[in-house]
Amino acid sequence: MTTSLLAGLLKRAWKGDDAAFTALVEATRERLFWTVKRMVGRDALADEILQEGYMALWGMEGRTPPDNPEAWLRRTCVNRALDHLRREETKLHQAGEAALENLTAAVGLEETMGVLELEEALHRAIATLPGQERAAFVMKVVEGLEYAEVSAALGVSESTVRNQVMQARRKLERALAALGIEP
Amino acid sequence: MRIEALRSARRPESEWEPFMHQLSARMARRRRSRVLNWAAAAALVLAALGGLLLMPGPKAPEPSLRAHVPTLSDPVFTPSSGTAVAVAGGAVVILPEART
Repeated sequence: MTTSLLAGLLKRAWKGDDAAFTALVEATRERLFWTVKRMVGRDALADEILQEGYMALWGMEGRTPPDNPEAWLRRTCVNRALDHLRREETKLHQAGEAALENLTAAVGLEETMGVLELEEALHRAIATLPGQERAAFVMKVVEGLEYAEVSAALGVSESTVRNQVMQARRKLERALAALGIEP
Repeated sequence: MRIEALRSARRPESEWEPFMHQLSARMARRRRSRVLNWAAAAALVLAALGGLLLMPGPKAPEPSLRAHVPTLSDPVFTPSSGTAVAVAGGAVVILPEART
């Protein structure tokens, strides 16, 4: 769905058209969910962050509507996810490292791993990244967004995003190599 | 990197149902609370306006005490014979009939 269609749905939703808001949510929820879920690691928490984001957009009624509602939602949700990660950073980081060590010991080499285990290993490796790097990596590499979109979502320059993605790649390659997985 | 393979992940529709239901419930709650807030604000404004209407107006200024100081030429009351009358300056004047 195009940006202008989403903006039109938002204007209708602000006039009380709930079906328009539902259509807007249905058009954007999948991409936002996976971005946030890959940042925070839990479905329930990702759902909560998304709900807060949608409620914030719906509650902006009467203000100037954002030109690109999906970009606005992504920025809002990513910021909320980063706030959560800042609070939980140390705990999650330690949990991620411990999980990687456990996984290494339990599974060993790539040949013995199935697709699901590989995915799980990737998720766990991503969970070891610091919040900003994780957000940049998830949006750019996993979700396939443009650098400009990631930069807008994180509120930092494109060169900072490039740097964060590069750092994240290096860390992930090291983490996956420790599991015997060729990146 | 293999990680790009994760991009194709999709959440089953059945998992979106509770999400949408919860979102609708939150919107309904927010609407109700907005209505209640408007009603409370309107009641407050009405109460304030009502208070203004019922408030007593300014009191008329009390007449100066000086105007009530009796003098012989302008007594507060008309004295009968033999009545002592206090006048300005503290003097007491007895009318002539009172001496007899």
